[in-house]
Amino acid sequence: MFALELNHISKAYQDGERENLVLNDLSLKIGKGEFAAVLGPSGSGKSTLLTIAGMLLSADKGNIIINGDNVSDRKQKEWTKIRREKLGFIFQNHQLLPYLTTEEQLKLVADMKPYKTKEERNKAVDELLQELGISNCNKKYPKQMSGGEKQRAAIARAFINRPEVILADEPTASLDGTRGRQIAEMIRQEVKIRNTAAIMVTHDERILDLVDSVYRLDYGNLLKI
Amino acid sequence: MRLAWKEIRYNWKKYFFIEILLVLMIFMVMFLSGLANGLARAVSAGIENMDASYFAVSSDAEDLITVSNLSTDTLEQVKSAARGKTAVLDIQRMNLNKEGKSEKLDVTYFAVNPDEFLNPGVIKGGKLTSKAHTIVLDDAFEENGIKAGDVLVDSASGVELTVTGFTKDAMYGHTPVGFISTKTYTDIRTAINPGFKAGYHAIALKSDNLSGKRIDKTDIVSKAEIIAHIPGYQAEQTTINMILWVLVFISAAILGVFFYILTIQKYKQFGVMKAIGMKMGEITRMQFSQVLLLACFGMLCGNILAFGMAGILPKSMPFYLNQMNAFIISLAFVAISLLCSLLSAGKIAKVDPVTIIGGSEE
Repeated sequence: MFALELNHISKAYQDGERENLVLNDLSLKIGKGEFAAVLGPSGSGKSTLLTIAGMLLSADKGNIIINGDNVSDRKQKEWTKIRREKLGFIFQNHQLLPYLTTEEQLKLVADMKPYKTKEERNKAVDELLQELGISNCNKKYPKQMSGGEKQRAAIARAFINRPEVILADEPTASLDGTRGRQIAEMIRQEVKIRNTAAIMVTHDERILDLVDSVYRLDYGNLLKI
Repeated sequence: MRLAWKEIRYNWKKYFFIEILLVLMIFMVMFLSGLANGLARAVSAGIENMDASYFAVSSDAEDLITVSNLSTDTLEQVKSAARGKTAVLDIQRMNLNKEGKSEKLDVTYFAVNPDEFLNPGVIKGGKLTSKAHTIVLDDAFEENGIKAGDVLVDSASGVELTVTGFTKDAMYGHTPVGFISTKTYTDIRTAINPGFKAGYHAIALKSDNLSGKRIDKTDIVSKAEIIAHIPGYQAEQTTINMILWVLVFISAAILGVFFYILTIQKYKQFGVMKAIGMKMGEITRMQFSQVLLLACFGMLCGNILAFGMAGILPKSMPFYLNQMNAFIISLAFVAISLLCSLLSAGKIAKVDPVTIIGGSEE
């Protein structure tokens, strides 16, 4: 069983008079503990793929199966619940809430899919921060942290809810080469420790040695490299 | 609520300025309400505080006590027909001088029978008695340095009046009231005009039940109507209340814009929140509780300011903050704030989390 299956997904946008087919009968299967990268020039539909996989946008055709559970026929109202319980997002710019400390960011998200006890939750938060090497930032606001630290906090936020699938949108784009690589390493590390599936959309080819599989999106078609 | 508070605390400067505006706006409305009430009382408190529910006035007076004229005959008829007590009343605007001084003090005489129920309670000195040429003054006169035992001179007639005590909240037509006995009043009027014929302006009644009798050329009018017909009362009140409500609506509009801008500024945050799986309801509740916090705190500060202001304003300033009015305004203010924040809730609903994906750098 795969953690995430996209089966025959198609999506078209109306572009003036004609229809622009962004995703053309696209299929993708990612197993647990697999870190996949999707490459493609800008405008190739990478973002669309991510928003569809992330239950933010509905596909015209095809279905999505998360951990054996077909979620594409669920009502739009339930999408929020699926996002909060099964998915974790890492955005290009950390997108942390400016008025919460790292610890509070994680707890806020953690409480949307509550742990059994507060102690258990706090322990999970501490552990995650430790693994990502930002324990010292637990009481800091985003403003007080470096770009790399912020992105790590964002990774922690994505993982705190024990998601089935991590969706990362160019997580290294706002960082320099070394830091970007560190971030990709961190994601890989957590994917392996937690046996989570992850899709990373990127155009940074220098970090491809860190992922398990690479796909290229070209004119709506997905090719495994 | 916690999240809302954390944000306020983090961005305290921004919220501090918004809070100042909130406080000033509620203060402004409360202050105006205090002035409206103060003016109303400056005109009518003398009548308002009377322990009477109805007044008998002559039919041609058009509910105006000062132009009414009832004969002694009519008084007897009303007295015999009325259920409950009656009390005679004359109202006359005059001037007083302090003994030996030429400065004139405005006064409105309320001539009453000291044995009847219109004889006011006093806060200082003694009550009005049937002893001739004595007067009980509104405490506004105290600001002029007048004390119990002082002798005042009626400017027109030269009749000397000894101050026996002070009552409070007795104002009529923007002048403080002096209570005198009907006998003293007759003396003053006779001194000015020897041909003065005794009569009464009005008879205060506890109920409008005249045992089914109608007394010739006499109307029984409620206290509210008497007050509404005091010259200037209605015009003033309409004007000020108009200003008050216009201000309330303008404040509401400004608040609405503020909360709307606050919402717009957090557009991206809402997108992220939605993407990571926060429910629309949770986000709205956070926004709502934030506005509630701001509004309640603003209301509290505004109230403190307004009541504090009321405490230090001079007595001669027609300012009176009534707790009931303050409560209604405060409530309206919080309600309007929440309503305004509901308008921006529609905006939150429209935030599409998709915009966050795709590295849209702004």
